[in-house]
Amino acid sequence: MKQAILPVVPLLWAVLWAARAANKKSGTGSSGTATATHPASAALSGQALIRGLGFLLLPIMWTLAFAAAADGQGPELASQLGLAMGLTALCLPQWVPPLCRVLPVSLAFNLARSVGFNWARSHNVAGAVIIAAQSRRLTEQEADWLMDRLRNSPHCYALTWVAAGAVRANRDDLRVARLLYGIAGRIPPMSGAEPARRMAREWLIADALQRGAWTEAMDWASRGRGLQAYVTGLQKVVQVFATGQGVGAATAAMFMHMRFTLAARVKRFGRDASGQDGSGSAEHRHGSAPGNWQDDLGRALALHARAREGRRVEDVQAACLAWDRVADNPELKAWVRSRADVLRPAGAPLDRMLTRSVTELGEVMWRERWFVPGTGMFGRASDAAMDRAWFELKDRAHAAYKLAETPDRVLYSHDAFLALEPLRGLAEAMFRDRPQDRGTIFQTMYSGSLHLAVKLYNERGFKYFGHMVFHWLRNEGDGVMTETLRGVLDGNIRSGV
Amino acid sequence: MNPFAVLGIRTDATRMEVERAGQKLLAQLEIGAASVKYIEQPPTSGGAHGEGPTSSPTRVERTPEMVREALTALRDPDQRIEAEMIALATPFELPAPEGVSLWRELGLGRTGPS
Repeated sequence: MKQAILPVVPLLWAVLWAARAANKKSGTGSSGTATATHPASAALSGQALIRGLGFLLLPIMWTLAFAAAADGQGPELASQLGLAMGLTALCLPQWVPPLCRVLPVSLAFNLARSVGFNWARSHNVAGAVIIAAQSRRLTEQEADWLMDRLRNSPHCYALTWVAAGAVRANRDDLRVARLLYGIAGRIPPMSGAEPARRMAREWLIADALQRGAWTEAMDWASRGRGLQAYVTGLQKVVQVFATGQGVGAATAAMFMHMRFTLAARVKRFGRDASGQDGSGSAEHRHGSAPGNWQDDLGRALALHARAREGRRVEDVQAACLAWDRVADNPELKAWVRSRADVLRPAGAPLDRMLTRSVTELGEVMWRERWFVPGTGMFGRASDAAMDRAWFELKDRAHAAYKLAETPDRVLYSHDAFLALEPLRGLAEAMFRDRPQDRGTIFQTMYSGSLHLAVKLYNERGFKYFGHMVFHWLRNEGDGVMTETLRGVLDGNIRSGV
Repeated sequence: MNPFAVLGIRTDATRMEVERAGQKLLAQLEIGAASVKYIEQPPTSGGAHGEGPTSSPTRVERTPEMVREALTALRDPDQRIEAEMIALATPFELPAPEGVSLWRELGLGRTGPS
């Protein structure tokens, strides 16, 4: 019987090695300056190989164990049984997460990676990081170690954002985790990215429910399927019950869940009927009915006071929206008209106050280098401010272009995001606020963005990010770009991920 | 600071009442009357336009310059309507901000020379 056992161990390691080697075969495409190319997909993935051989070996091992048991061979039975169970644990992905809980994080990562947690076409480094991050409470060193695995990964697919978000969430860095998950959740619907989008959305929905941000949860849920939204909400209710937060909290969660799922369905139905897509943040919507003007003005003044401190861009954004609400309030306009009939002012006091307020907020944003779409800062900017915006846009586009030429491995996902996001933020803010200048804005920024995206796509394996930029440029350049450029972008988008 | 708070009058005060209150305050400050030396500010968060974000009652020293500026502001119909708007706004209590900006944390804010 021992002769039957011994070859299994080297065979198992041979399977693991072959799987890893097969993983590395998924190569990269050729480089280019404007055209993205799609790599040939591997004929047999490492995950498929290891799973196939694993399931081939398992019946043999268990048959040998049963045979030893039938023969009454004690020591052989124990070793055969242990080996069979060990192999089962290694080869069945469902067994890996509980096993990872008792292993050191490096072992858990390598085990998950070897077994092949890849979630469709994403590289299994990200999947292994997610499993390792979800298996335990990470220390700072362990989190850094896992992030290093992500950074050193030759490929950076959509799941990388989810993995990075999982590590940050594990360390209670929820604000950064929300941003990272949000990036994955906003990836345009494409084949292969759906698992990452789904995981990101599930986390974001659960997080929003946890914070009581129902509008935000509804917004994320309306991007997915109804059943998923229902299940996530139900999980939250169960969690409230299980954690013993009290009957009141559980009942409230139940009612809120019902309201949430119903509202999400109504919203999705409305969106389907109007043919709108799922883009756009709930934070930017402020089309609710105007309230009492004293309340609206009080809120705007309070938010303005906080925004002037320049600590958070979210405060400036909230203040801008609050002032917009004040400006749209018919009660306030009527009150000002009635007072103007009595006092006979030379100008328009309300307009003067609003102009001064948004100018102050604009200065805060300039000072802090915050360019956020939807705040209207460029629509209200002076000529001098617009001149500064043009220079800023050129500088950022040039910086993106230069970054694409960086020869080392600095260009992993996070760095690329940090390089392109300020350019995208500024360009989108200008696009939205200065529609009359769309052509000039696009001409200024597209070259650097496209060059960086193509380099990322072709040479760094950062395909989802490149694909997102292609989509973005295609949408923003619609109507203002040349036919040649449109053809290039359409070709890049057709290359897929 | 809001001119109505400086002069200690209601927003529906007539021009005559505004002038009378201003001149009276100037005279009292001239002779050093302790009763008008400080302005008691109610709790407010209407901090824009020079009022300061306060959430608890504060005492601000009243000076003759402040009184004269308030009088000048309320004599101008444009400034008076604006002052009335701000004075009538409902004090709004904001929740405490949560840490620093995500943009700043991720390096998305200052990326060039300011």
